Amino acid sequence: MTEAVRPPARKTAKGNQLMNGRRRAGRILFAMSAPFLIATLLFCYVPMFGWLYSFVNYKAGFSLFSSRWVGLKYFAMPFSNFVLRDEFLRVMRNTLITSGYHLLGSPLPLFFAIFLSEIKFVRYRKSVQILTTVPNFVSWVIVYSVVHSLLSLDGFVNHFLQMLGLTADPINFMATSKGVWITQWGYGTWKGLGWASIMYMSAIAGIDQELYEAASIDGADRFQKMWHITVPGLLGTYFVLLMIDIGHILSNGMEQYYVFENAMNHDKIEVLDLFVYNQGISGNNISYATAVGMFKSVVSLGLLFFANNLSKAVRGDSIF
Amino acid sequence: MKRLISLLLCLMLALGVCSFGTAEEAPVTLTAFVMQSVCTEFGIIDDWSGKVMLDELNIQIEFLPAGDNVLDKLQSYMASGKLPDIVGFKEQQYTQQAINAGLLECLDDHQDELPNIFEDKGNTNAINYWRDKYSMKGDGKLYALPTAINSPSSTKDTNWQTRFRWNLYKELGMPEVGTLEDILDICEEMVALEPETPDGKKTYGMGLFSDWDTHTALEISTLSFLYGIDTEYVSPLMETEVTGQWIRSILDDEAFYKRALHFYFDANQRGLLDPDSISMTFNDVQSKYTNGQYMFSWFSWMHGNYNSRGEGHTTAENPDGFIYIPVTDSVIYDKATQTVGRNWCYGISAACENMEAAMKWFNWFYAPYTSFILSNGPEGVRWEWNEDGVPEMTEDGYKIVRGNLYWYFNEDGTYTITDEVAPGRDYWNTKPIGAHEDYPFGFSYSEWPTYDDDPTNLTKEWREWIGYKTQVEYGKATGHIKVATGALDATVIEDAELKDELDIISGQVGSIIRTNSWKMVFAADEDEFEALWKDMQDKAAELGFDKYVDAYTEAFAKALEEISQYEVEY
Repeated sequence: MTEAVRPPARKTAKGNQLMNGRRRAGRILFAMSAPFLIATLLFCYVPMFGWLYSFVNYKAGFSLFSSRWVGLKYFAMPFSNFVLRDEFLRVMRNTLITSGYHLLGSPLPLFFAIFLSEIKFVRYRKSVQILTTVPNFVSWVIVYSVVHSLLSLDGFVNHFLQMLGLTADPINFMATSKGVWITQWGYGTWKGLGWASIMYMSAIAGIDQELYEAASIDGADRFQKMWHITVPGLLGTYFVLLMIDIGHILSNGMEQYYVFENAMNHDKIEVLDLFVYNQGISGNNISYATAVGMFKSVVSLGLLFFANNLSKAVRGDSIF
Repeated sequence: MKRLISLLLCLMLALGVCSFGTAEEAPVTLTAFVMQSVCTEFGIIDDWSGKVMLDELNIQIEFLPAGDNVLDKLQSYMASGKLPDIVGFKEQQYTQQAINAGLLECLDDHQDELPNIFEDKGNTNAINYWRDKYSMKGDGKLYALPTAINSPSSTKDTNWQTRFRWNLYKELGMPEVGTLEDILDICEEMVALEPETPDGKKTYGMGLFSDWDTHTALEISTLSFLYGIDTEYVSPLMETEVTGQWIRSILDDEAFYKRALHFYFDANQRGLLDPDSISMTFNDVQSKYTNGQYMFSWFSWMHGNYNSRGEGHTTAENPDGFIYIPVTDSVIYDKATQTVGRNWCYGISAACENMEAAMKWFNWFYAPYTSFILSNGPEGVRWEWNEDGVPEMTEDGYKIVRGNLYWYFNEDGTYTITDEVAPGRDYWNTKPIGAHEDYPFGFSYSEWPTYDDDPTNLTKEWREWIGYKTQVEYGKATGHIKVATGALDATVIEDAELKDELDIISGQVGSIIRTNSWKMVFAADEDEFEALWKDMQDKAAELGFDKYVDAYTEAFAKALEEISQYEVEY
C-alpha cells in the first residue's frame, strides 16, 4: 500500500549514475576492509568464547561441556582470602607501575623521531634508524641471553668492574628485585624505541613544508621551528597512540617478564599477563586464570572510554 | 629424434613407478613426548636405538622436546585435546587427568596386540594395581603402564648419596662427617684448599638449579632422601618417613625441609653456594661439575663427566673424583622392589592416527628384551651371549662404557666408536621393565657375573678405606640405608572432586613455597630467614593447606594397608 501512495521518485539518468557509482565505491571500500574485519572477528571476538571456561571447573583435556559449572566461584577467588587478595593486588601494582613507566616514556619516540629527522646527513640518519629498528625484531629469548651474558656473575660487566677494581665480588644483577621495574622498562625501550618512532617519522613527512618556510622568513630558529611546528604537528598522532596505550594499560605482554623472571624478582616482575600464564598453564588452574584475564578486558574497556572522553574534553578531538 | 627422447623418458617414468611399487613400505612415524626424559636432543631418533626400531618394527620415533618446563608443555598438549602418540608421564596428577579426560587409549581394548604386556605374569601386579588406581573414573580398565616394573632395590649405589671430591677429602685428613651441617665445614676447607679450578674459575661447595622445580625448590627438598624421608612420591608437599612410620607436612615446625633450607642458607652466608644457583639449569650445573667447580654432590650420578675415565681424574696415580663419604647421622632412602612399578608411566594417545603401529611399538617397548637392549645396545656391539647363555661384555663394550664413549651404526651395518663423549641421549630415562626372570643376571652390564669391573684407582683406594665393595654393601651393613615401603609409590587420592580441590591448593601453596624457599636460601640474615618461613606457613594455612595435609595423611595410611595385596611374589 505504501508503495502506491508514495510519489514516484524522479530519477534522472545522471542521478542514477551517481548513486551506482557511490554504491560501487562503497562496495569496493567494504571489500577492501573486509579482511581486517574478519581478522578482528576471528582474533578478537571468537576467542571471547573462551571466557566460558571461567565459569566451570575446567581441567586441560576435558571438554567445556563435561566440566562442572561453578558459577562465579573463580571471580570471587581473588577476594576469598588474604593470600590470594594480596597476590592479586601485588600483580595489579606491578602491572600499573610497569605500564606507568611505559606511559611516562611514551614521548621518547616522538622526540627521537624529531631529532632524527633534523639530521641532514641522510646516510647517517638512515643507519641510525635501521640500527634502532632492528631490536624490535629480536625475540625476548635472544635479548635475555644477551643480557645474561653481559650481566651474569661470569658476565662481561662483572669482569669489567672487577678488572677496574671497582668491586671485589661480582654483583648479581639478574637475581635481585632492586630496580626491576626501571631495568625492565629500559630493555623494553631499547627494543621498541626505533620501531615506535617510525609512525612519527611518517607524520613528520606529512607536515606542510610551507609552514617551515614561512617560519624561517619570520626569523624562527631551528628549535623554534621544532617546537612550534613539528611538535604540534605530531600531537594528534601522539594522542591516538597514547589512548591506545592507555587501553592496553593492563596488557604488558608476558614474554619479556617470563624470560627475566626468577624467584628473587618474582614479586615485582609478575605482571598480569605473566600471572595468568603462571596460574593457568604452570599452575594447572585455567579457570581462575581465565577469570583474571577477563577482569583485564573489562578494565581496559573502561580505561579506553575514560581516555577518549578526556581527550574529547581537553582537545576537542577523540577516536570515537 | 624428439620422439625417441620422449619414448625414453616415458620408459624411465614407467620404470620409476615400477620400482616404487616394489620398494619397501615407508616407515611409520610416531611422535613421543616423554616428560621424564633427560635428553636434550629432539627430532627423529637416529642413534642405534632408532635403527633397531626401524629394523624390527619399521617404525621411527619423532622425539618431541622435553627438558625444562615439561609440565607447561604437557598442559598445552592436553588443552588442545590431543596428546602426541606416545606419552611418558612423571606426575600422577596429570596421568589421572589425562586418563579421565579420555586422552589415553584403553590398553585393555588391545589385549591381543599386546601379548608382551598381558601374557607376562611379571606384569600382573602392576596391571592390577594400575587398573584399580588409575582407571577412567573407576571403570577398572588399564590406560597406562608404569616404568621400572619389578625393579629391585639398589645393588651398588643408591640414587641419593653424600659425595665429595676424594683427593681433597684425603688432603683434609679424612675427617668424620657427623651431620648434614658438617658438610659445609668440609666444603669450606675443600674450597680453601682449591679456591680456583686449573682454568681460573672460582670454586664453590655446591650449586643448585631450578628447572626441575614443581611445587618446592626441588634440589633443596631432595636432601630429605639422605635422611630417609620421601618428598616426591607421596606428595612433594609432604614428608613421609620411608618405612611408613610417620607423615607430616613440609611446612611443619619439625620439618626436615626447614633444616635443608637452613643448610643452603648457611652455605650462601659462608660463600659456599654458587650465587648463580637461582638462574642455573641442570645442564649448567653438570658442566660446572665437569669443570671441577663444586665439592659436594647429593646424587650418585650428578657430577658431569668429572668421574669419566676419559677425563683422567679417577685413573690418575693420585686419583680424584666424586665418591660416597658417609655422614654419620644420615640414613639414605632406597626404593623397595617395585612390583607395581614406579610413579612414572607410559600411555598411548587416544588421538593416535596409527593405532596399529603404536600398539606394535608399545608391545615391543614393554618386552623384557627391549629393556635389556635399551640398557646395553643390540647384541654384537657392546656385548654378546657366552656359551652358558650369560651376556658378556666385548672388548669394544669395555672400551665404550669405560671411556663413556659414543658409537653409531654405519649404513652397511658395521659400527663406529667415536672419541667424542656420549651426548645426553637418554630418551626414555627409566626402563619399562626393571627386572625379569628370563634375565636372572640383571639388565645392567655392571651386574652380570661375567663383568670385569676393573676398578679405577679411585674405587680401589675408596674400597680399601671404607672396607666394603660398594656403597650399598656398606650402607646395609652399617644401617646407613633404609629400604622404603612400596606404599610410597601407591598413595592416590581417589575422590575426583576432592582431588581437583587439592590440586588447586597444591598449585597455589606450591608457588608460594617455591618463591619463598629460594628467598630463604638467599636471605640476608636469620631474622629474614625465620620471617619468610613464618610467612610461608601463614599463607599456606590461609590457602587451606591443612585440608591437603589431612587428605594425604589419610591416603598414605590407606596405601600402607593396601600395598600388601599387590606385593605378592609371582
